[in-house]
Amino acid sequence: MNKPIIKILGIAVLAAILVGGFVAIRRHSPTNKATRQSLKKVSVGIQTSPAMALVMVAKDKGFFTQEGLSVDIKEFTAGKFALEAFLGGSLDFAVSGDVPVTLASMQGNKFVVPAQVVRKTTNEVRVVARKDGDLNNAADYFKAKKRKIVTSIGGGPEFFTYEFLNKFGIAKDQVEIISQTPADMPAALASGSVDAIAIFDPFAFIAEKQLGDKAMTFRDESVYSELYVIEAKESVKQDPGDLEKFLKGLVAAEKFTQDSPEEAKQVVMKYTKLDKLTIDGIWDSFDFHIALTSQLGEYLNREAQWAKDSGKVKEGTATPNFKDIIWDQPLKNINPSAIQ
Amino acid sequence: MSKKATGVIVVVAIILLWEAVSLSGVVNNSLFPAPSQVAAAGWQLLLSGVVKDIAVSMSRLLVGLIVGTVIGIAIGLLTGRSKTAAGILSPIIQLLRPLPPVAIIPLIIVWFGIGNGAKVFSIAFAVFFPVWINTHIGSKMIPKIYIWTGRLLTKSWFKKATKVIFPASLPFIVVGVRSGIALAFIMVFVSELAGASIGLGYRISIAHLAYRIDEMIFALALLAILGALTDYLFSVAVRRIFPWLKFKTI
Amino acid sequence: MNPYISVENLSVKYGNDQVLHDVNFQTDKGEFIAIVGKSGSGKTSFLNALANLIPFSGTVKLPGAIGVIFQQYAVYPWLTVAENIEFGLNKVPASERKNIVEKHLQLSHMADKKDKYPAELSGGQVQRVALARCMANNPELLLMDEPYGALDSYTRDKMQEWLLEVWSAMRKTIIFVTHNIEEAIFLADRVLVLEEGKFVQDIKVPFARPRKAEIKFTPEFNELRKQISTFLN
Repeated sequence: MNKPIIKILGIAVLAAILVGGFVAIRRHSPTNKATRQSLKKVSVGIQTSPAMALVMVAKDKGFFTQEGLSVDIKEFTAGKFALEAFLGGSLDFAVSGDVPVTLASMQGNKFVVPAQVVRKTTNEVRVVARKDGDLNNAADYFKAKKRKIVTSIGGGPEFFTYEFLNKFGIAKDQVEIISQTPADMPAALASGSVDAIAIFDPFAFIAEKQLGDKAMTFRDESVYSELYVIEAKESVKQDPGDLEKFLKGLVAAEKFTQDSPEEAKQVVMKYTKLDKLTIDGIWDSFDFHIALTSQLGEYLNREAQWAKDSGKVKEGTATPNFKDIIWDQPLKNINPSAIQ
Repeated sequence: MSKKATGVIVVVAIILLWEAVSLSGVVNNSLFPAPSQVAAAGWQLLLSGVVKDIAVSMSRLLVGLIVGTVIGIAIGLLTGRSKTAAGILSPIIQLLRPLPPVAIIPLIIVWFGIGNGAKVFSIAFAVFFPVWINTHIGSKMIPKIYIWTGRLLTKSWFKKATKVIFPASLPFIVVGVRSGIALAFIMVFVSELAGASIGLGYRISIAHLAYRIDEMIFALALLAILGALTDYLFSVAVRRIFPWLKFKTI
Repeated sequence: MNPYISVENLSVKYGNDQVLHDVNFQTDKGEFIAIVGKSGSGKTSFLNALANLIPFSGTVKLPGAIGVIFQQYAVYPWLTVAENIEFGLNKVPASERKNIVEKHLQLSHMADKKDKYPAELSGGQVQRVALARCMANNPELLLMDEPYGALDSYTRDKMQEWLLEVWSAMRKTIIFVTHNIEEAIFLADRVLVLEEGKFVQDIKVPFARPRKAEIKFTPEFNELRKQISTFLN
């Protein structure tokens, strides 16, 4: 083969790849899919986490399409990033923990919270620490020397850490609080470069599993256990159609999950790539119901105080009236008993 | 009007425009704070001790920069002038070079933990490659006659290395180090995003995580200024220590 | 006669290219030899082989230290004039070093520029520094490879006169390579013609010393020039 032919062939192959790729992208773009099926298209940002089970189940089992909604799920490494993208205008809905809601609204961002995707969680955030001799309670452990504790800054785990240390009378300068992404925490703990991690499942569970009897867990349900909520634009108050469809799809997923938990777990495993052992291990930390509880309001207010005390917000920032943010009307219409 | 004055006026105009747009309500002010709000946040940061964070970040950066530069120059001169050394070392260096240094930070955390040593290592690692390759090329391209003259005038290999090979490669080395400085700033920032409790990158990260975009912008601006300042000081220092470089001969 | 420098059966090969073929050559002490030849005749290779900078076969007998002056990149741009001159003097004790540098700064008329860098000097000045650096090391033999090739003719003439000045003061043995016949005749005691890797002529230059530039216009000079030219063509 001579050179010009090789050149032409090469260019042809490249062109074919580019055109093919372009066609594939267009084919699979949500707009086209939706238009072809004449469904209303919306986007929702979530963390790739088992806490999002109901969203994943609703999408996977077609409960959204049943309601006439084509939901495009965008995955983020943390709920707070989903919320951030939502605030920037690139998503219709987001699902995040409750702490990002407090922080974002205290910065003046405007949105509504129409529902939680878990009614409650139990010990979902906890401290997993490397065993040290026979120190077996939190107060002794953290007062014995200056420990390095890693947490997810700006989220539920950081708030938990703050409240947790407060409860056991451990002063801020008695620990070194380090920021890391949740996914990196089990490895940091296993390698011994930190003493403890304060984080939610599945990472707490993974760390416990990896360290085995080298680890000890401090939990305290009374301190705080993260709630996960939906955020929607304020405009849904005028036009709640899509939101109602979204909630209905989630409520259907709730029923499915209660009836067939094993199938629901399969869906979560598909999305999160976690193994069955891990999913089984953490499943009971979550109460998978679409709800609005008074616990949410209480948490938001406590977090607002924490934000002020820890300098996360500018001095003089007022605590928002969270009752204005939590909008229960659509959920009330669908399932009044979900409001507690 | 002088060029400088025009430049200043343009910058001031942009700042004023930014202030107006941010406060007008056209955009979400929380996500797009005005310069005055950024300045206020900056003031708060300074009062709350961000100078300490700057000091920590800069010391990590400088140590990493120096380590990466010294090793890069030493190995670059070696592989540039010795075919044997090049045969042994160049292949492995070239294999590692395309790795984006930012991408290996998670690996470094897993292997070396999150202490200062690990962060300095990741900075030095990133700085090494541009310094090495520029030194390597520079020392390869030394005119034969400089080497011959050196050989005819002295038998000391140390003198040849320090008084002929090193200065002859210097214009290239300087280019490499300047690239290294830019990379070092990127690396110190990224290495402090995860596994840090102090530092400018850490501050930027937690400001972001608390939705404090005003703080974030201020800290980013600080980082940019430090980067520009470091580069400038380096150029000045080089011209002081090696005054002949201003003639840009060779 | 015991020649001061003797070269026997010198051959240089670059790959399959034979550049010098069994060259033989002798000089006495203090002689000024010029080698002329077309480009590619092997002049530079001859010098480089003598200086042991390239591999060769054959025997080369040299009296001692050699100095080499090249056409370009003669001095180090990162050293001042004084530092360049001092460069080869590490074996010399520090106190003496200063005196030697001073002496050669004076000799090369560069004393007022001793702290300048080569980039600040003219071409002729750079070559003066190159020669001064060479001479400071007191070589027995000086090899010069077209040192004035890159200079304009006025500066070139000046440099030739100055070189003769220095040479008559220090009486070093010089082998001077050039493609400029006029320059060769003006400077040398003997002019050797190198053609395709072999010396084909060895011509004694009859003019007395000291020589002034005017002799270049004499009929005898022209005659010699024509003679050598013919050999080259």
